[in-house]
Amino acid sequence: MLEKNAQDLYSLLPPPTPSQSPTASPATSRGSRAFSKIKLGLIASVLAISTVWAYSRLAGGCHHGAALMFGGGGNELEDDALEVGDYAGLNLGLSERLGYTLVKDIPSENIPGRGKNGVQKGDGDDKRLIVVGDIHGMFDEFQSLLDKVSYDSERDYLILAGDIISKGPDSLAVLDLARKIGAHCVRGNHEDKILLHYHNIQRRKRGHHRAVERKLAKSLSKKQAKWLDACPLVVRAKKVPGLGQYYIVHAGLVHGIGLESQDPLAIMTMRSLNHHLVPSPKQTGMHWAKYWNKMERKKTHDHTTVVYGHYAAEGLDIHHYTKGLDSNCVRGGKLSAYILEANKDGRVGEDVVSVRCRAYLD
Amino acid sequence: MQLRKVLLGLVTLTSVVSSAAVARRDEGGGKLERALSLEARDEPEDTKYFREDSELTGHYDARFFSEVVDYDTRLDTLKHMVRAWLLAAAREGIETWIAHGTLLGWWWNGQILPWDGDLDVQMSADTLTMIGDKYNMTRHKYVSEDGLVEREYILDVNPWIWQRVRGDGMNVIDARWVDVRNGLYIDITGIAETQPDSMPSILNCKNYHRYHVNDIWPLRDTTFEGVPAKIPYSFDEILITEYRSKALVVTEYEGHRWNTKNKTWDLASDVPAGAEAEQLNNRVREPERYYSVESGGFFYNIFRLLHWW
Repeated sequence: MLEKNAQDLYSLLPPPTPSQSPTASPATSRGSRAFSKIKLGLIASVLAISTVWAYSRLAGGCHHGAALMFGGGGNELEDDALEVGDYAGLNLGLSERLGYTLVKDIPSENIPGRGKNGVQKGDGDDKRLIVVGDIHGMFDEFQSLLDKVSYDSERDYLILAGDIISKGPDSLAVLDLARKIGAHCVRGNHEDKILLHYHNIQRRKRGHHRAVERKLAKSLSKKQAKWLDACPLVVRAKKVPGLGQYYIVHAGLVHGIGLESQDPLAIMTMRSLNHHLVPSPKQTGMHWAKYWNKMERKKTHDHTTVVYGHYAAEGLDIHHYTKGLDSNCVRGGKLSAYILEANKDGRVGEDVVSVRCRAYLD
Repeated sequence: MQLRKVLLGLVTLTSVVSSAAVARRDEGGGKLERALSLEARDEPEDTKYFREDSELTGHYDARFFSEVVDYDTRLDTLKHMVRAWLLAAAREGIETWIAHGTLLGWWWNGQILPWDGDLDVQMSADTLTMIGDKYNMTRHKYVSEDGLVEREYILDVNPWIWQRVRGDGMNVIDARWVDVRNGLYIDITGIAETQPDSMPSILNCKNYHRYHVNDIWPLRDTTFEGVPAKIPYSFDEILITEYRSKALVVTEYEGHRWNTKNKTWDLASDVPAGAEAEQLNNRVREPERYYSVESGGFFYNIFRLLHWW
């Protein structure tokens, strides 16, 4: 349409003026004509584009309001604007009202470096803490990751960081293996949804018939559902020697708010925080982990590190106080494990091990 | 001479561009108008079914209204009313969930917001049709758990429930659960796929609230005012969409202050309410759009272009 307009315009142009000067050659006159054509085309397109742009600004508004405030640098926001008092998790008891188990503690004898006799220098300790990100029913990959880290149920405490099932090909097989090897779990948004469907089906309640998750929910056995239902929102490791406290959740936590005041749904779904520190699954706004690291760095002691999954778009995302493990296995990324282990000099160190995944979903 | 012709060309171009834009807009508008006029022809002029006493901010059903009740009576009425509804619905197998301001109250502490004049619950349009057939104008007795309070409610379904679009705006509420003593009520709205072809899985209630099927189902089980209740699957996102995230943050509202210790909204005389509060809210309201660059408007851009050319 633009071109057509430009064509219309050419017809309005004055015919090439016959050269006044006898020395001017026809070639130059053709040249100047071509030049003005280009100019006209340019001006026409610029005008049209600016018109469209101006209208779209008027009509469409700006979708990145929050991103502008928080995006990229994130430093343009003063710290005092992010007062925790803002969103202080005022809704105490939300997880209780929704029937969730909020938190389970890892027994101290399973925490690396905290064996009965402590860790002697040059001795080490065979206890390991292993967290595996979003498996999504990718059985083969889960199996090969366990082989790669040479998992041993006697000495290792394995925690699956949610979204163990759904999306992938072998959800039930993954569940059965996890139960067999004594893995622990936190509740992810997919477990949450599948379990809601499962309980609706058990009570013979009509659900929304098009929900694809119902198929998986229907195939769950009672034992499998019971195991999933027992997954807490948070697994906590108190006093990892030299590293402080560890939380394992599926999606994230808002810094500065006690566990009992966190929104349980947000623990399973959050990706970003807005300027009131209200969490959201959207990717606009500040990554909650960025805020977490920023606030933890200010502390001198009693640090807390969060290990989580859920954020496949960020991939493996290891920072000082947050460890993002969803490396998008189900879409052909990797399946990752985060390992805490007491090394020879008696200190607990971290390690990340990944295996490649076949691309099950595009 | 040449300049004038070029200018003429410019003017032609702008008129072509803008007329094209206007023409396209007209097309859409025309359709809308036709649809509206059709509806208008089919319906009598005054179609409002539920009548409220509009003088009294519309929170009473006119048929049962005798006088405006005081703060405590209103709260007491609403609390028992919502319990009665949730219990009756569960007993009769009616799938219903709490919505809007009532859902916000649930988020805070599982109770109604004390400044809320009425309560909102929703159901699917199928369920609404079912209760219209089966329970319309039925009366329901209620005895509180401690046996001290006895009430009676009437379930009244709007005969306009077949109309799943907003229409003239007079019948956006589909049914009511009315306390027959004073006319206070719960609004019951149905949500349905109004455009299954162009917008599958998008549900509407008549008041232009729009939901995705997956935001509502599977419903979550919880308690509200001490009785079992259901809430939508993505309650967080629904609340933030409807009330903005500030509603999950502000601790002073409509003459009430959040008591962090007891987790209740307490009356506070120093917190402004009504029109005064609205004014204050307007003053501190955050800008909703941010512009990094001024677009400068259409004519300014033309000027800029000519100037630099």
